[in-house]
Amino acid sequence: MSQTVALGQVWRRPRVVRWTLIAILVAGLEAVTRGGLIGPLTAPPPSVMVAALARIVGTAQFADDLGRTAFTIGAAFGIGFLLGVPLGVLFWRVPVVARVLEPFVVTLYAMPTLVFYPILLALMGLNAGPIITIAALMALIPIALNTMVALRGVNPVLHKLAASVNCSRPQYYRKVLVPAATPLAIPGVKLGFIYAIIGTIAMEFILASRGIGFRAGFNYRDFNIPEMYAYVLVVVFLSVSINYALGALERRIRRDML
Amino acid sequence: MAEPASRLPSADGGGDPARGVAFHSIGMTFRSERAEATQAIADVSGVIDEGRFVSVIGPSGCGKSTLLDIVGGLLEPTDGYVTILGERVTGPRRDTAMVFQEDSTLHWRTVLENVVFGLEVAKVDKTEREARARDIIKLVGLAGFEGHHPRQLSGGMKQRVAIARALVMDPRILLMDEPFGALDQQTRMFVGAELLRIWEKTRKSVLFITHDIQEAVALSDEVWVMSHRPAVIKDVIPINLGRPRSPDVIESPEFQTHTNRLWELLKVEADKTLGVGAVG
Amino acid sequence: MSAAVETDLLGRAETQTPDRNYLYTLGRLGVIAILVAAWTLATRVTDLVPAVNETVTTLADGFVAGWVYPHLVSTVRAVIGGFLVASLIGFPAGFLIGRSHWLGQVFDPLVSGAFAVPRIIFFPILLRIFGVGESAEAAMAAISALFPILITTAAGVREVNPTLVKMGKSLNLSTWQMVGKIYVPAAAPSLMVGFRIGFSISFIAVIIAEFFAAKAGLGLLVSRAYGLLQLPRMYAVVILIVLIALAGNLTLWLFERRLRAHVA
Repeated sequence: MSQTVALGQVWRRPRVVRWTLIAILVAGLEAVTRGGLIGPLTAPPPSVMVAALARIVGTAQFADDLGRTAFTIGAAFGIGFLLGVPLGVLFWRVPVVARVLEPFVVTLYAMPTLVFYPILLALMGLNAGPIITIAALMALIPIALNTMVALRGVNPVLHKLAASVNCSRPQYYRKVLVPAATPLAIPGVKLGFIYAIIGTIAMEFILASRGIGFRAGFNYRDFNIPEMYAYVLVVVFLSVSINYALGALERRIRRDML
Repeated sequence: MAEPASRLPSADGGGDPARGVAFHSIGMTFRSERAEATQAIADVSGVIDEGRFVSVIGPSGCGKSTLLDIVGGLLEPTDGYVTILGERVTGPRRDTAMVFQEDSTLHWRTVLENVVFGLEVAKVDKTEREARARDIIKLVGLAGFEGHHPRQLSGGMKQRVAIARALVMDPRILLMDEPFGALDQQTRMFVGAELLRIWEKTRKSVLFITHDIQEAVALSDEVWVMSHRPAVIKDVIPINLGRPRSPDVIESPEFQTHTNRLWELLKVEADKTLGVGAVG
Repeated sequence: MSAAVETDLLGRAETQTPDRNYLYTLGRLGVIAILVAAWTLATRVTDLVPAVNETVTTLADGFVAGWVYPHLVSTVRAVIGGFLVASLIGFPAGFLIGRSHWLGQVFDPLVSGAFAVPRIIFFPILLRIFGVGESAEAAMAAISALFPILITTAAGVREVNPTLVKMGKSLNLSTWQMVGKIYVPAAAPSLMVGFRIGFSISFIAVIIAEFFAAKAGLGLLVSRAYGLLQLPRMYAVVILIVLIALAGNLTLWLFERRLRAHVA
């Protein structure tokens, strides 16, 4: 680190560098697209993208799509959480189950769960069910695995402490295990939420008829390129903000409970 | 300088089993999944009289912690039994309170909430338990820190919280498993002095495990020397350094005699352990 | 967890006792049996689920008659291509970010933010750039796998014992020597994890991309069969995809384990 003047120090601050990089990228893109190096059918200038975005955001269709997507994400995460945590507890309490199911869990994690869509369609019909199920499955796995790891990660001395003061089982869970494991399990829950988002958008993109994800694909097929990019921006903005909010929550919990 | 007489402990000689904590031929053998049995403790007998501070020293891994766990009711011995006031120990009870080597504070609770933990589990009424906790917190020298969280405290302070949590239960015997082992030298001396002061005020029976000879001599009325695995009590050294004791007892020649004696005893056992190979 | 302890896929320390392994295998066969039973039951309940034997014969037919091969090859090519690009960028970038505290501060939020974005949303952009075909799919795989590789590599590099680094510097090692003799061996387990995850994600990304728009590939086979209601063929290819995911992951994990035992 060189000893520089105050101005030089400002330019080394990470946040400044980051935003400068982003600004340069956007400005560069604007220049390149306006200059004709990249055709409008490939990518319009960012200013045009933003204009399209502004047009879209007020519409009823956008609200409908957004509501639909939000509902799907919420449902997928909710199911993934409500099923994933108990599953993780089961893996922890009965390690045999974890070992036996291990290859299946890993395979599910390593394959496009999307391909189960036709099967689920056959079983559930043409509604939001299959999409929610698949996105829930994607969220469930990291939540379950991380819950198991978190429970294992609790300092064993706390278990000894609880035993030495004669804690009953429920007391042990409520007063010691859950508070101790929660900060360790939060990253998994955050990842589960992210996967719920990724799963929902991906499924909507390919298979749905409504929703933010769908709309991006639709505009691609219809050659509405600026609108397509507008929806890409919507998705990027939403996922980044939610990720940031979750990260802040995670930091808060870790600060208070770890 | 006459050497302090040592004696081998037994359940009937040198102490009243009905009043204190008595070990009746404790044996402990661990069986692992691979069916290799390790005998941690062979035969330990002894009595800790009411109000006596007893330290146990011995080579690493010789079973000292196991012994403590047995007294605390966390482990059932394969042979023998422990009685407290004549009553057999079958599980954790209000008579015993433990302090562990590692930090055992509940990091999401404040100091006050940590100290009342045992009372809370025993369903003691809230006002009462908080009042008792505040008294003990004052006693261990942490007054003013009731609302702090463990992460705001130093290692020594966290161990004092653990000691407070044990004391507030008003146990008959305090079981301490190398409570200062994870602290640095200076902190250890400071908290050790604090423990002396606290003990003078409360005069509890204490079973104190340590590998620090000076600590053992400075704090105790009696030091039990444990052999290497399978463990027995090799020697009991009474510490005649008077009570109340001040921390500068360390500088007295009598202190030196005791530590030398114990050092010799320990060396023999440690050499045996090293000769046998790495202690698992 | 000490590095010397072998871990299973879920990160649990392994305590090997021969009898237990048979139990696990038995349990797994049991789970498969239950799945097959559920499948057979579903066949009775609805027309939209083909019979088990029909599906299996169709799958076998795919290899014998050969209609699977061009698609399998296309998918594999896209996966490998995308993964290579992701690795060529991800590993060095991850290394740089992990080594430099400042770079980490600058890029970490960007990387974790980018990870949260569903990469599929960029696929239409890639299609506009590359047109429909393997290149777009490979690009899709590349941007999907890039971030996990980058993140795990950076994490692995950060965990390298700083004393080792100090020792290397004191021996006046060149940067390349530092990388090759210190960083890579020390961070090897994390790198392997990144490698394995990167490969899995590349595979997933390609299949999904093929689902949306492709000229060839397993994903295309599934979506085409789905559109034409050729149910046995559709299910057969889905099973093939599952098997490939399983086999690929297991192989890489075995390799990772060997590496861990070597290094620890």
